Order: sequence, then structure tokens, then C-alpha cells
Amino acid sequence: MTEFNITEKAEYLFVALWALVLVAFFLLRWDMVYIVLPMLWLLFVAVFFFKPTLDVEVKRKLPHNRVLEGEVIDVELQLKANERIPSLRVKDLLPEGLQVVEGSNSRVLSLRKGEESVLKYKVLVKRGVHPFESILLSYEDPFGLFHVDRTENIYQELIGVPRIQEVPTPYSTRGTKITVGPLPSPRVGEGVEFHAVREYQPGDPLKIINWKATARTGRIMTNEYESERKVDVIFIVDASYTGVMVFDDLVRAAASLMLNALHDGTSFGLLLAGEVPLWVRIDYGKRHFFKCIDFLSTAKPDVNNMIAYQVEHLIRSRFPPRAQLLYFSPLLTDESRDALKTMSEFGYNVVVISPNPYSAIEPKRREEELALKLLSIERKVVLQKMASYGLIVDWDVKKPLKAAIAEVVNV
Amino acid sequence: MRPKLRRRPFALAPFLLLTMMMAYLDKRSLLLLPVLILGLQWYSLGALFLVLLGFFLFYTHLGGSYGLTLMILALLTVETAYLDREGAPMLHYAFLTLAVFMALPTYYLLVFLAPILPSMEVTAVAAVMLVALYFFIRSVGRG
Repeated sequence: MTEFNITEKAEYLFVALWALVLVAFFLLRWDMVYIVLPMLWLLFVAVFFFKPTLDVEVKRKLPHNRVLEGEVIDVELQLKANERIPSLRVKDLLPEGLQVVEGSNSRVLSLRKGEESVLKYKVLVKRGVHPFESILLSYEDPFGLFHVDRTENIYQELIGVPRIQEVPTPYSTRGTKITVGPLPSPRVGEGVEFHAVREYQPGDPLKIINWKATARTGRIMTNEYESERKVDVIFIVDASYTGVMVFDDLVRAAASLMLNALHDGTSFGLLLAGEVPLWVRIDYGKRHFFKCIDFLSTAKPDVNNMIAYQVEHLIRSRFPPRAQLLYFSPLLTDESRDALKTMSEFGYNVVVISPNPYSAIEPKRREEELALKLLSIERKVVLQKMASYGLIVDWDVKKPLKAAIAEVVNV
Repeated sequence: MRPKLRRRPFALAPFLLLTMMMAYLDKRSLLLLPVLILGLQWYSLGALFLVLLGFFLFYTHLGGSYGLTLMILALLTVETAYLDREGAPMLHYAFLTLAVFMALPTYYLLVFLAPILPSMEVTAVAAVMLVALYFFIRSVGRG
């Protein structure tokens, strides 16, 4: 049995109807009670002729599940009515962080039996995970007297990937790996990056035999992989809530330098230092790169900041010796500065990409301008003190990261 | 630049017709018009207008097909204003008009049948109708 929910409008109509009947009764004009006939007919038609079971098929179509932040995508809702529905309200529940820029995620439709309809709207994607959870279908009779609601749970995830820019390598790879130079070495080894196919040599392990190439050529062929012996780069992202103003810039910088490391053929790991630290072990290749990018896409600034402890623990247990550390932090808290000291004390080369949080603020009043100046001076002093622990790139987020790195590294 | 008027003006048609009929019937009834004008925007006031108009018709004993037509037009005005606000499809206006105007043939049918039917105690009819109305509204409310 379909459950009707009476609308507020219907309640007013019922009250009016009852009031008129009672007035007729008390004024002894009972013979004129036919005055309420229009209202009765309206209710009768609404109840007996517009009573659907809400038999609608609905699908949501997203163009991709990973989209660059700042891009606009089309979201499409496909509806098919298996019964006549004179007035169907459809609302796609938008995840937080997505903004409708064209069209609407809600619409009222009138569908015939078997009719299909498409509802399209465009959203601006921000960095992060955006879960589309459900679509609300609500039938209202044409006169808005009752409604039947249904929630269609269609879960889809849209990941806003950080925007990546081309940046120079801000660190030296000399002395940190056996092969020389920034390009991948074609030495045969137990790597993961495919290099070429060659004929089988005695002593090659069976697992590297390329069976397809063997069948094609009639000779036993094997895959050749690049050597893994390259510089190890570790990306440490300070996910402290204090840097929330520049957190997106921080993630963009990490993603850009990660792409740079991928192009250089270096292996890299990631420490996302939130309340619960996330450690992605050092590895190679595009698959590993996309895995790290996924984690960066979903990163959020966290309340708890235990970064110094987390870094020290991982240095003792996970970080390889002589690795190159890339530390992304606005260096606003003592904890984040202590983490930098710890890295340096353990003998690591550290490059700090520090987005200036005050460069993201536009002062509106003279007092604010003055406060920003004071804070900027304080920050300069802090960065000067920290300069002895690593190479610090003080990044004005209004300028490209490339320029900030070039200023410090003299590329 | 003048803001674009987005609201449909269909409610004006029954509104003007109703105003003319009310003026023709009894000038005093025009005192109710401010409530109807507000009822074009707020349905609750529209419902209040229906009660006030009904009260006026009962009080002045102005019934018959003319009184019923007034009530039909009043309900049509209030409901059309709601559809105008919602931007409803044209088909919904047609359903509404048809549903509300069905009251007229029903009235004439009752008038035609009244002499044939056995005469009943008016209070008994009233009681039966109240009970029937109560159960009808309950059934609508529950589904």
C-alpha cells in the first residue's frame, strides 16, 4: 500500500472544508452544503486519479570518477517511467564541496508511461572525495495535496585530483643512488618498469618470460625491466589544520613534485601526516604515482598534529638511509618545525616547500594589512632560523611554484 | 534594468471573473478581496478566503448555481495561483479546471435527483455526510 504524506496545503484545504461544513450546520443552511462540492471534487480527483506507485528507473552518469580540481563536469540523471507520472520531483543530493554552475540538480518532470528523460547539470569540482549517495524522487499530485517520497541509493564517488604544474627538480640526486643521472637506467634488474623485450638468456628467471612474444617469434623471449636502484624521495605532507588556508596549495605542490619524480624515474614514498598518519612505502612507476595521487586527493587538514613524533618513528623504522626528503609544510607550528629538525638531525637532505599562508589572504582594512605585515616578519624570522636544517622554498601562493623553486635552487 | 517577471499570470483570469461576479452579486462581498489578493501568494490565506466566501454565501443565502460558480472560481483562483508559483505544466491546469468544474454537473444531478429521492430528515443527512466526510479525509490521510 502506498503511503501518502499529506502536504501543508492539503491540511489547509481540509480545514477550510471542515469549517464550511460546520458553518453550514451552525447557520442552519444545511441545504447549501453543496458549496463544498468543488473542494470535494478536487480531493477526489487528486486521490483517485493521481495515485502512482512511483515506478521509476533512475541512473546517474558521471563522465569520469577522477577529475582535475577546478574542472567543470556534466552530471546526467537518466529517468525512465514505468507508469504515468504527472508530477515527479527529482533531486540529486550533491556532495559537499561541489558547486552547481549550470542547470539544476533538482527538477519537476511530467512523464508518460515508458517515457525517458534526462536531467543534466554541471558542477565545479574541488579537490577531495565527493561521494554522490542518493537521488530523491518525490511524487506530488498535480495539485500539491499529497506526496510520495522515495530515496534511490546510487553510490558513486568523484575524486577531485590536485592540479599539477610543471616544476623543476629542487634537489640533487648525486650520491644517493648507484646509477647516475636523472633518467631511468636501462639496466636489467628486478624492477617493475618495463624496458624492452629480448631473447631469453640462460639464468633468466622463468617468471619474466613473455609468452605472447615467444609465440609470435618462435623463440623464447623475456621482458627486460629497469633497475630499481635510484634515488629514494620521500614526500612528507604536513596535514595540520593550522595550515588550512594553503592546504590545497600544499597538496598541489606535492603532486607536482611527485610527477617530477615520476618523470625523473626516481622511486618515492609518501607520508601524509594527519591525526592518523598514512605511510605509502617507496615504490616506482605510474601505478604507484596514481595511488599516491589518490591519497593526496583525499587528504584533509587534521586537528591533531603529531608530525614530529610520526616523522621520528618512521625515520627509525621505514625511511631508507640517504633518502631525499621533500617536506611540505607552512611551518606554522612548533611540532612541524621540530619535525624538520628531526629530519636534519638524522642526516637527511631536506627540501622544504613552505607555502606562505599570509600570501593567501587579501587584507581588507589597514589593521589587517598591518597584522599581516607583522606576521610575515615573524615568519621570515622563523624561516631564517629553520634554514640551517634544510633548503626552504618560501612560496607565495599567488605566484607559480616553478618560480619559487627557481629562485631558491637557481635552475 | 527592470527585473524579469518570472511568475505566470494565469490566476488573474479566474480572479477577474470572480471579482466581476462578486461585484454583480453583492458589493459587500468585495470587502473580501484583500484576503484573496494575499491568497494569491500564500495558500493559507487563500483557504481563509474560501471559508469567508462560504460564510458570506451561507449568511446571505446566496446559493444555487451562481453561488456554486463563485465558489468554483474562488477555488480555481487559489489553486491556479499555486500552480503559477510552482511553474506547473499546462496539463495540470487542465486537470484542475476539469476537477473543479465537475462540481456544476454534480450539483445539477443532485437537483435533478432530489424530487425523485425519498425525503429524508435533514439532520440525518447532515450526520451521514459528516461521517462520510470524516472517513474520506481519514482514508486520504492514511493512504
